[in-house]
Amino acid sequence: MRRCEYAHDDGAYVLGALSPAERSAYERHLATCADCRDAVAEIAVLPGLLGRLAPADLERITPPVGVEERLPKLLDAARARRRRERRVDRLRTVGVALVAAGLAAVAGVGLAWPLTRADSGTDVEVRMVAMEPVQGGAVPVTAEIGFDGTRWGTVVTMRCQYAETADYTKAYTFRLVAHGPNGETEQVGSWLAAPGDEATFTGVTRFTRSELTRLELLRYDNTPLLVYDVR
Amino acid sequence: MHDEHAEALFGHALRLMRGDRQRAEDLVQETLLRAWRHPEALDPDRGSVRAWLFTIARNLAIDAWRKRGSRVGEVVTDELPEPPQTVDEADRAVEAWTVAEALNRLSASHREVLVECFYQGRSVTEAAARLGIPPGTVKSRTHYALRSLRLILAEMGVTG
Repeated sequence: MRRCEYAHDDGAYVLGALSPAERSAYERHLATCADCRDAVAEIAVLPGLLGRLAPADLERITPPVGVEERLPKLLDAARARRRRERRVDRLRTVGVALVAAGLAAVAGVGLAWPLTRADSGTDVEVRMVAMEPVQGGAVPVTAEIGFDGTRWGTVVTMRCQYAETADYTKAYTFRLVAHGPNGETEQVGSWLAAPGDEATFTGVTRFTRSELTRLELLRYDNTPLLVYDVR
Repeated sequence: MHDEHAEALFGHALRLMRGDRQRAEDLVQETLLRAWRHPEALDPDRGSVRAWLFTIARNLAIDAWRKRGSRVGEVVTDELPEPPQTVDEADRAVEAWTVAEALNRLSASHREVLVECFYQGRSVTEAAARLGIPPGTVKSRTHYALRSLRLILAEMGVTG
């Protein structure tokens, strides 16, 4: 067992999450600790692999924490992939290219995030309402929003369009923020959009349907653009 | 060390710097300088020297990205310095899918710290504040999350 005080810092180090000061201290420590050097060597290649998944894809694939049960499609895709692999193993006649093509097709299915809920057994369309523009809000964006209350929070579906105009040509990062009781806020999601883009996603906030007071669509610098008051 | 890894390191730096050769060269120099300060860690018998050099380069690139990203205001692009490799589109889809599947097999708390610290590019301190847990817990979770991820990828037949 490793007993050194830096034993758990290897992960944050290879992910680039240590502050420059912490990192320098850790690198000085590495020079003297063979166990930590081994630990870093074990995981140093992982960030490169993680980087194969673009952050934009991650938002569509990885569920918000706590909603694993909403992943039936992805899990089906995973099972289909494993079946496919076993079949390929048995036949041993199908080329690697075909597997790749098949996986790409499965990945395509996994990426299509449904706008309907599946956990109630029936596919219920979420009713979408338009968010109101904030006075003086820059950037020509419009958004519709839908709620779905559950015991553990509220599932928020958003469809946001960034219109193409002569005045706005830049891509911006946008954030959707939920307001709850006692002035608490929580980010439901963020995305990068350029003029002409439409972004659709489903996120979840721990605020229940009755606690949720307002949703705000902000630009990266916290300029409010759109708002929807729940009550 | 330089001759053996310089070319690969330059390629890595070029990707991190989004094709800017001048900045990539600077990054390589800075990386090698750091590595030379700790030659003990570069013992070829101890894991991959190249992976360690790549880690140093990525950390330096993230520093630059954080400095730039800390400016409030418009951002033309704010992607982290780990662009997907330019490979065949089908390969890319398979790789992305494999990583996504591996992440989905992690526990929610492990996945969460990797999303915060890697994909969102947050520091341990920032991630701790957002998740409402102590920084030490973020560190230990990233430690265990990467161990789990390594096992999962090995089970999936990904060597690395």
